[in-house]
Amino acid sequence: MKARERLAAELRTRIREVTPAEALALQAQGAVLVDVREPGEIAQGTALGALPLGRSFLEVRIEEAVPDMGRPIVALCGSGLRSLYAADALSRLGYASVVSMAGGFARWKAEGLPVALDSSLGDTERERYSRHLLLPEVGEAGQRRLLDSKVLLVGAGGLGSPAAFYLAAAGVGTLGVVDEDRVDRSNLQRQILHTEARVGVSKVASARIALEALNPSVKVIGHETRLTSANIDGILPGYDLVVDGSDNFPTRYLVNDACVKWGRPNVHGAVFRFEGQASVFWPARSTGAGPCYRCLFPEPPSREDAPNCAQAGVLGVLPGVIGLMQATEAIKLLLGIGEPLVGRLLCYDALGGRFTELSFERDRACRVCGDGREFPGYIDYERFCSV
Amino acid sequence: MNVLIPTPLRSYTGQRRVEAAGTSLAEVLADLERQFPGIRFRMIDEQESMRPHIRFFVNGAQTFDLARPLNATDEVAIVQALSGG
Repeated sequence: MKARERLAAELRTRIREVTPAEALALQAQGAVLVDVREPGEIAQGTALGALPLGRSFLEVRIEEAVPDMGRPIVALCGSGLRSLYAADALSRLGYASVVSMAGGFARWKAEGLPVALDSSLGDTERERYSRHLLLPEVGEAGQRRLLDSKVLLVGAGGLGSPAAFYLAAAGVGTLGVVDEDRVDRSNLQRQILHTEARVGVSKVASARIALEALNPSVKVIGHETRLTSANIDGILPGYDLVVDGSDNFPTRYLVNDACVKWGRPNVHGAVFRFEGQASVFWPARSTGAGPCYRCLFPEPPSREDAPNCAQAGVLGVLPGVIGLMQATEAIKLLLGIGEPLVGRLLCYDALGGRFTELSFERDRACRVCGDGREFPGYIDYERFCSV
Repeated sequence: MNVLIPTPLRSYTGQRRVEAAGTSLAEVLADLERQFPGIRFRMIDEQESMRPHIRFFVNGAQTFDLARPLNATDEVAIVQALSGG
């Protein structure tokens, strides 16, 4: 017997299976159907009224979609196997009554039960995103998913600028932008969201002008503040994932810890002079936990060991390259396609014209994401990073 | 063998990639110290531990073992946490 069959057999001892007809009856009594298939499958149709949440972001999105943990849930997939795994995950999350639909959507359809096509795009959207729609990996369902996605950009600087532009162009529906700074003329060598005319304007306001000019349908939410332990829980959980383009270690460790706490992927980028690094930190990944930032770098360098770009300089185009790698990873994660940079650090040497891929593992004893650990709470990040 | 130096330590070596010899990671670091005095202490502390913001990779895979045997064709990459954005 294969491992996945053993697991399925074990799950069947704990998770009740229902027929499609029973699922329909449960739905009529108030249960919610959750389709955990890939966007491309859901685009071909799903059970009428089912929530097209997919598997990869299920744990991240379910609470917003189904806030009442007591509401019965019927998980459905293509044939009834993946929905067992998903039902198990939802039970572990705390949902009191989760069942799996045996036979999946194939049987639902074969039994002639009501089917709905995924909500479709308008003509303008179809034209704007036509090159995405041509890609089988994106298609209409994937584009719909991007339009429904929410990404938080930490920093509207060198990394955040190109990332925000391309995420807006790609149709990511909601972009949160956190920055407390104003545009300085010295930013313009690389921070392409901003312009000469907007020197002195808040970066959040400047970013909003640039992004809305590019794609007016994108909702830009400004957070004109510095992220702190006190405000981050009021901001980060409203987003599906975070693109970290911050320019200091205290913010990077805070963002990491909050991403671990809330189970959000942390799309990491960092630059210095001619060197850039990118990775995806995602301990809550349902298909195999990845490392967090602390698993790789448990502690930051001392201040004298870590001159920043304001002191040591950065090639203007470099954050462009790294920020776009972050945007690429973000879009892959939102669509659930490809191989994310989980457990891999991609290092770019602009002078050498070389990429180096380095692999690293999750630290099972990590103080924030280690095995069996409760989230330990936020710390004084300024102090942690000034030792 | 070829060793990738983190940018913040490039002031010691003058270049990102340098040649160093040794049959273990510890020996390679000792050779780097001979060539570029002062560089080792920026990576290894008084307790002979890897500094937590410096990470070592051999042929692309992370190692925590200074005794890790190496041969001349191995590639060593040393990476430092960067904060710039």
